Amino acid sequence: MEDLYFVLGVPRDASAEAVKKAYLQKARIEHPDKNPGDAGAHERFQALGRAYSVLRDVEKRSAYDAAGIVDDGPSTIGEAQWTAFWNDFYTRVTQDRI
Amino acid sequence: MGPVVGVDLGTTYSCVAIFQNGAVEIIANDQGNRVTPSYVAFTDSERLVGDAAKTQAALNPANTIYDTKRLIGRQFTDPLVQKDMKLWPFKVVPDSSGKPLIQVTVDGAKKSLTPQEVSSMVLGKMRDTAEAYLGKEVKNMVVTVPAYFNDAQRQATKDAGAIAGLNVLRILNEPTAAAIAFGLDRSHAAETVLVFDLGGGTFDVSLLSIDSGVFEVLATAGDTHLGGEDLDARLIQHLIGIVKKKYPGKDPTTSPAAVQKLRREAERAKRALSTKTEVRVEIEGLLPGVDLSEMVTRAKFEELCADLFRQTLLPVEKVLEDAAISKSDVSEVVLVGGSTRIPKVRSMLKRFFNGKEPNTSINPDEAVAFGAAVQAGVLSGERDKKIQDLLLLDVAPLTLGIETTGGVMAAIIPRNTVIPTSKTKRYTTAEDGQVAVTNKVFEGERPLSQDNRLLGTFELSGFPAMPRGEAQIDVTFDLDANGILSVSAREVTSGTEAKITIQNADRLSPEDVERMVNEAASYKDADAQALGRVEARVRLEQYVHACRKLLKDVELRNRMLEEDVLSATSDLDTVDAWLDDSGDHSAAEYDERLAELRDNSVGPVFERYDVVGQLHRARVGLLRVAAWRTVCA
Repeated sequence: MEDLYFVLGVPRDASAEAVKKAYLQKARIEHPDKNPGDAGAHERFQALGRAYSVLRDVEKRSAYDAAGIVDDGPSTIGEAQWTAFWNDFYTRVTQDRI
Repeated sequence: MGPVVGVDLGTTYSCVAIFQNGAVEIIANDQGNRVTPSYVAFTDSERLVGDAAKTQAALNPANTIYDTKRLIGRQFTDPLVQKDMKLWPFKVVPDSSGKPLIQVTVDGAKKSLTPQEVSSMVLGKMRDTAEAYLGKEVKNMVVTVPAYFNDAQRQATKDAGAIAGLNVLRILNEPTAAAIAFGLDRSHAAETVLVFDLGGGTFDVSLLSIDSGVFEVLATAGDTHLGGEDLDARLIQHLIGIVKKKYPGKDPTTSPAAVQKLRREAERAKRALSTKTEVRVEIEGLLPGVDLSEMVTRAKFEELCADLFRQTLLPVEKVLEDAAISKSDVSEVVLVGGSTRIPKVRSMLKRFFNGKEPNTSINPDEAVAFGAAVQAGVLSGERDKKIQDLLLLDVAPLTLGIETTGGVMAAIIPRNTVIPTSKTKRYTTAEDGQVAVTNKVFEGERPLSQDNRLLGTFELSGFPAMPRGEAQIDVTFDLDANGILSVSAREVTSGTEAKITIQNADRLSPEDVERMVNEAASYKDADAQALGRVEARVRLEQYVHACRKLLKDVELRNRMLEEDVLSATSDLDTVDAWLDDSGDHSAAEYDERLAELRDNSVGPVFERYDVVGQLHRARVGLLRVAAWRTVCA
């Protein structure tokens, strides 16, 4: 799994403001509109988007910091309830604990 | 790639603009208007688009088409289509797959048109307007759609461009385009802007963050079926009620022409009520023996539309909630769309934002085309410092997902995800030896898929048989910068690139598009012929006018022999009578008459008095007047 901080080029302790700034700066370079004819830009921009969608969200970011991976998040209402249910039973696996 | 123009393809009006030499220019049409009615009409001899079509609407109601944006990408059975049809004077019928078709009579024969074809004619008109102004061929466009348009409506709009032979480089969201128009020249620090776009037929609200040239859409919401037309409809219903009460037994809805007159007057009254507190609606001869004369007050109008006005606040609340931004964090509320001129809309918004005055700094009719032109400039690689740093980060308006066990909607791309985006999810098989899986793709926000909109069914097949649970199928949803979805799939363990088919009920097949392109081209030939005919007629009329003008010149008349004046006048009268009493002639016939006048009758007479130079000057003067007649190509 790609390191999301590396993708955005920010240190792990970067502030929310710094994360946003880094994303906007990189987006300006990698957006497909700025790279006509470069098929790779599409994928590079999407990687940026994935990293930013996690690191901009306080909850997802702390989950990523702890576990080193991030799941897509619950996609149905039923799933969300199940996730909450299991989380109550078990402590989460984190890199520190491993 | 040649010039790229930005087009706001509106429900009621369309607008075209171009970015060049560091500035945006809104391009006026052949009538000198900066917006063009999204109207298409068929007469016995011609197809009319724009002002010419709207002008003759009351005379030719059944063959005058408008509002196609309310049909595009929808099913015939859509309750909104069924409701709109009641007020349309043109006929809408379902095709074999349940899509709406518009039926008109051309040359005595019935002809069915898809909404895409009608929209392609409006787009073609906008292209012609741009070409006439630029003096260059225009092949590429950025076309705007409501942010809340779904996948089918976006696809259909793109198909409309293809039918007109145009390459739609980008489908751009209208409120985003308006935000560019608003933010392009602002050198403010980071701002959070809410765009409130209430147009002729659609309503959008988008919340954006604008920071040093980056326009980031935070959330978007709206209603693809709410706009000025719905306000007009309320007023029309009100007026119909009055007629029925005053003239028992008379029903204007039975006459398409009467409805068309009511529509025209209702729109006029609504506009007037934005600046006046009351207006008189007068229609003489609405029906035989029925004259309408009724005072409508602003208060009455607001009462008729009260629920519609209230509805506009729901999406405003939704975007604030989605983006987790409070009212007080919104730095500007930007108004776009003609209907935001209505005082009630403004006062309601002002109250909602705790007294903050809405921002009216951009032109509500032109802002969307303006922004589209800027984006067109970016995409065409225009080197300009104003747009070099500009970047749009737009979002998907609706959640995209698939149906899972029990008819539950599983979100794959949540709404308000930045586009372009892609997401892969892994699935497996449920049975031993299974070699195919079928899935349904939905869009919408409801937890059960049956309440959402089915985009298509995809079938994945061709991977080897395996025990259940062993196949690993990666399904990838890819949403491009236009907000259009494509789905691909791959079975990982076997490494087979599995076949995938998306069957979208609303998509035109490539064969359909090709057939329509050819038909459009044949219209172009017919239009070119009509244009040639009109031009030839105008040439002849100009010549006759110029001659008559010269004959009124006192100095010349004093030196002319009486018999020359008489013969010239009589020759001109003959041609005028021929022009007046007969129908359309071919271009060659008009040119023949012109040659006859110029070379054999009045021309040689004027030559004898050495005034041909003056005649030429008079004709040039008349050229400017000659654009009186519109023929669309």
